[in-house]
Amino acid sequence: MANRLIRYEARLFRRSVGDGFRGPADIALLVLLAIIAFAWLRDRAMSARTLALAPEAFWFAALAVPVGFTVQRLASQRLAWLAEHSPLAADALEGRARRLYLAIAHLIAAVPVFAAASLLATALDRPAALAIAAAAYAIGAGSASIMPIRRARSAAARDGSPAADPGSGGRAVLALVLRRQTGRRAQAATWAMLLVAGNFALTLAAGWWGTAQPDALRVAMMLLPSLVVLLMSSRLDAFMLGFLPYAGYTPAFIAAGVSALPAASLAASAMAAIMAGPAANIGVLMILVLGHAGFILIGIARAWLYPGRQPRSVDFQLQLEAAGLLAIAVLLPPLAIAGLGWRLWRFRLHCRSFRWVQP
Amino acid sequence: MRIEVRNLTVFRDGYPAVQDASFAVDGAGWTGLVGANGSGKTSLLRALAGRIEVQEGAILIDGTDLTADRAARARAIGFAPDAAALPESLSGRELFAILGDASPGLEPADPLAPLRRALAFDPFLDRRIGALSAGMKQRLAIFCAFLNRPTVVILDEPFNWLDPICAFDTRNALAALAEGGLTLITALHEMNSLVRHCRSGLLLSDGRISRRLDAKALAGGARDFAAFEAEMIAGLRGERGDA
Repeated sequence: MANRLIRYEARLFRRSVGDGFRGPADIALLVLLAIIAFAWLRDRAMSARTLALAPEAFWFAALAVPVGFTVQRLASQRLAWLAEHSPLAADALEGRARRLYLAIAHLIAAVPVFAAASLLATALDRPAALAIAAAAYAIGAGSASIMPIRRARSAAARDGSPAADPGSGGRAVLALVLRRQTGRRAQAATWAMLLVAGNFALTLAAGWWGTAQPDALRVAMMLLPSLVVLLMSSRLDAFMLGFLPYAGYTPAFIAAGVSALPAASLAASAMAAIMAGPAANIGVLMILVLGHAGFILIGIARAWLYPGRQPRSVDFQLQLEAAGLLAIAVLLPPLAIAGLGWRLWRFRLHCRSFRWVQP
Repeated sequence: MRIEVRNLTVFRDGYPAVQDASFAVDGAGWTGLVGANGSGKTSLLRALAGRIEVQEGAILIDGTDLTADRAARARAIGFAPDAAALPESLSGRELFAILGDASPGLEPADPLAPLRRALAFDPFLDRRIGALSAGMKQRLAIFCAFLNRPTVVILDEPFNWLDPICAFDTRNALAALAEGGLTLITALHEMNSLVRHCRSGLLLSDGRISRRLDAKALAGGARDFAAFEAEMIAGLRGERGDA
């Protein structure tokens, strides 16, 4: 039974990785990212030689506790979902299979954590730091294991799954996207416009009010409304978006649908920043453009990858890729731009390859 | 196999989805569970099959109290997962192979052969589940419940999304399996299947068993279906407070 559960998850993982990184060029990108990560870590380790023991212990614990906690939590939630919804419920409920599942999850997570800890411990000549990391990891995992797991919901079981609006297909799809983003089942478009108008008004007010304040406070106040709107716009219905290509919607339409709210937010906040006093707000304007662009691109990538994929694996893949691209952007900015364009092109091809299929 | 439920209460998201339900299903045959949307059918069936926890009451299988042992109930009872919860990136064949049997029901003498023919999933068995329509996924989900060849199977509204041909064939194949020794419990939304194929029936209203139908009552319903259906719908309306 234990074997069956692990085989199931391993097959899903292999398929997800295969979907995300299909060709030799994708694998080359992964290798490049691994090299950059290793180089960065090594550089950090070498420059950390001067740290005192107490901060070292703190950093090792700070690294290991959240990882242990997160792994235990995610694995337990996954087991709860498997036990309620999957065809392998009996396996996910069986004690031995659960213990093996959790052990393998921790093993997989512990390898990179302890590799990083070993690298740092060797560079600092502090072998005791490994023991600190191990204890911190165990504390994180242990504290997660005593927390209750909330009810595992499937996509089909969500109460908030919206019903289609009457009217033309395009408008209905946009309304469905906005419903999820605004969290409002009725009048979602009106609420979206209110959000954008509120963003404009608050950014403008912060710009005017902040002229007598320190720059950092003024910038933070001007960016806060946009951050709220962007966080709301990152809520996407994976189930619905994954279905759109089958129903004949093009990648461009899907991209436009998920980008409508953040794009409107960018226009409103940028206009407010300019009206609040252009000379002092060039920096704010740049942050607004880059921040909105980042959220829009990640939203498009998610929407294009959801068809035929597990939403969780898509989000995980994009987190990895976004981290990698950021690292590349720090070291080689032109390569990051080329890499971003290439990845989006691949995601678009993935989305476009799905059609409604009947035997 | 005898399944006995005593004073069962199941909470979902803080509210009692099933309240004080008691009934017994004895041996082979098809038992239909009928109720309005939100009446607690899914919660009751999932609790029976070990998919969710039980807050009060008892579930006995062949006289053994398995209330606290969800794993034992899940092992003993075949249960069709939500079609939407099937793994989108795998094909049906890959899923069946992981669940234990790559080619169930292929041999003509196999008891599952008629069900496999009825569900007719072979043309899309190698296609990714994520690329299938809701009806195709539902066919695979139904068959998943039978792969470990359990003697008790629970299906939650199995005919949803099936086309009329597949629904007709599947109903007959399930009825044949129930006559051949399978204990089958399904949530149903059409009275026709209830009176034509079921040996017993349960009506669920607001989480409570409001009526039990034995073979005699169902046979009477089959003789005068229109009157039976009207009576059942009126009962459900009344219990929902719509009358």
